[in-house]
Amino acid sequence: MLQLVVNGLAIGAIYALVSCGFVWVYNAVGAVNFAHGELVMVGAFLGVSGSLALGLPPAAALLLAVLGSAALGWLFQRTAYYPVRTRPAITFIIVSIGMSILLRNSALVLWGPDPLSLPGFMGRTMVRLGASSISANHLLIIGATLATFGLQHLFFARTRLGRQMEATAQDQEAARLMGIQVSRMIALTFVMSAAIAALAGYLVVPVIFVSADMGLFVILKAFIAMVIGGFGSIPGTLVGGIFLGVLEVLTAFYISSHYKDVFAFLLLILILLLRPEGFFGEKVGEKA
Amino acid sequence: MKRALYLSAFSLILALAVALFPAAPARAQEPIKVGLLASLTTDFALIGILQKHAGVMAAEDFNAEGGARGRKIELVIEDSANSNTVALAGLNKTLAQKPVALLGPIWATQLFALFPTIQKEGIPTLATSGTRRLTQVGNRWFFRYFPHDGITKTAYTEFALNELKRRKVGILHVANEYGMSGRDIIVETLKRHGLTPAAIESHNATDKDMSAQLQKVKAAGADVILSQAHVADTALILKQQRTLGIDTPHVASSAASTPSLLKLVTEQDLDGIYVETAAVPNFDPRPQVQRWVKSYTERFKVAPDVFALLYYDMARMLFKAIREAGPDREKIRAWLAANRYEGLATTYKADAEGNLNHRALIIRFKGKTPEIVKIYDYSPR
Repeated sequence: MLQLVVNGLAIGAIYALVSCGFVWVYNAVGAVNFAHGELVMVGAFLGVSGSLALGLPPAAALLLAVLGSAALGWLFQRTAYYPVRTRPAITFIIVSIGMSILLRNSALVLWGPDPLSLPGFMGRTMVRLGASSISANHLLIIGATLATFGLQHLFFARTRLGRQMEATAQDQEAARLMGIQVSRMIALTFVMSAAIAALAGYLVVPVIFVSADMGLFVILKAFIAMVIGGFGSIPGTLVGGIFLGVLEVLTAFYISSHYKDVFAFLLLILILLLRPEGFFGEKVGEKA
Repeated sequence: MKRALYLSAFSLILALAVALFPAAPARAQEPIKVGLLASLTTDFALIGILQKHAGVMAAEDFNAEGGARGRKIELVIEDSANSNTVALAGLNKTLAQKPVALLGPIWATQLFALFPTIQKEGIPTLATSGTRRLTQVGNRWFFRYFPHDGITKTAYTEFALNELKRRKVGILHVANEYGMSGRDIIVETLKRHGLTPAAIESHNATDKDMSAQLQKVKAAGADVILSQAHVADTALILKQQRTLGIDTPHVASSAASTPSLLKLVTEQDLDGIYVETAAVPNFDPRPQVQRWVKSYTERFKVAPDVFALLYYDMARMLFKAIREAGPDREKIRAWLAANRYEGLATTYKADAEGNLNHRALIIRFKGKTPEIVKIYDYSPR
């Protein structure tokens, strides 16, 4: 049981980490970036290439992945967001779908169709907790996710830059009147969102492998995590992601693996019916 | 007058040209077109690209040996990606070039989507898919070169029961046409022995966590695991089985024998795992297979998998049929249905349903090196 819950927590932590960067961009520009899953995928590939092709130690490969993806995030906002920023939100959504197809197929050409893997960062170390033995890699993922959420909370709450970004996300016009350089803040949001996507991508490689199509899988789950947690809420993504991860594992074990997704989505519909704003979201009426 | 002179001179030259260069030999040099439809993009490209390489290699080798009575084979290559719609569009594009036969994609769902057009068009279609039902729907134009699940899954279930002496079978399968086809055959085989499965668990091809399914199989008291899945999900199952410390013997489906999978797992993950497959090209000691693997690897800078080897055999048999029967779809179909072909991996001979490969191997991994532990031959007598 404990083993199952930890597995669910680890996979849920990944969903949360992915949906966190997704939410930042949503908050900043008011539109969903469907290419976010591909940023996770590119980050993962960069990290794996750093480890396998360049022989870098894990920390250096992670740095390469994060910096490479951050640069891609900047390029992404210049090419996919900046030219259409004054258009309705749907324009950016469509552009982001196009970018996701472009990135996915570019990765297929660059890295080929074979999934790639890395030996776990913690090797095969197992931690014994009572009668269960738990993979140290899973604990690492959960720990890294919690640390990232903690750090980003401090960043937004305590630093000047963080508050400027927060202000931009809340009201671009007001932020501009306060002397905040809005377009620079938005660019920074894309960069940070891509960087955190790379962190998520690299962390999950030993657990779920990396392949050109992994973006589709992660973005779907991240999207559900975001809806459950509350559209636009950062703590919501953490709770929503972990809730979804644990729910999937427990449903597969206690109810039926054949109907795992049916139950997960039924619950999603139920949550939307009973609490449309999600666990931490704003009231829907306020958004209208 | 002058004009009439020019005209007669021109006619004379034209008549001479026609007499000196008759049309027949010119047409004899025209290549014979064969369609090749495979997943070249998306996640399905994993196997598709290796198959395309095998098709290209077969055509090059065949043409280098003189082709079909002096005429070369020209492949019309189209992508079937990971969708039935793309596959159908690819088929229609290929058909516009009037190919005499088609090397089809490996995916059963795509083949089922293509079948109505294939039957309407009347074009011999060859593929290496294992899904049982493909040859049970009465499509006389379809030929299968991979042993179907009725052979491989019967073989690995018999192996678990008779050789490993197990009785409580836990089934793990991917929830699609392929996975369910395998599941049903395992259940049928068990039934013939008066047994029922201890557990049946499924996952989606894109799922990343199979720990719940593995735990359930363990909790049900299974003494052997039979799995039926694709490359990435098989790799995840093998890794997670080790992580969870479940040491129940595991007999996996053919994806577990591919080089792509070997890259994803460690020696520990694979050690002791049994796998059903139709061939193990990279570890086959026969000189002709070794030569082929070396040539393939040198040409395409990637190691072939079992599907690529069988695809090569399949393409070579088709090209031989074209040479022997001529570039006529009905004659090619009849030749494929009637003749025996000695390929690199095995001998191919069609049964009444159009299945040409009737042999399954059970291999066991020592680290990452497989050894053949049992051969099941269900060739029609």
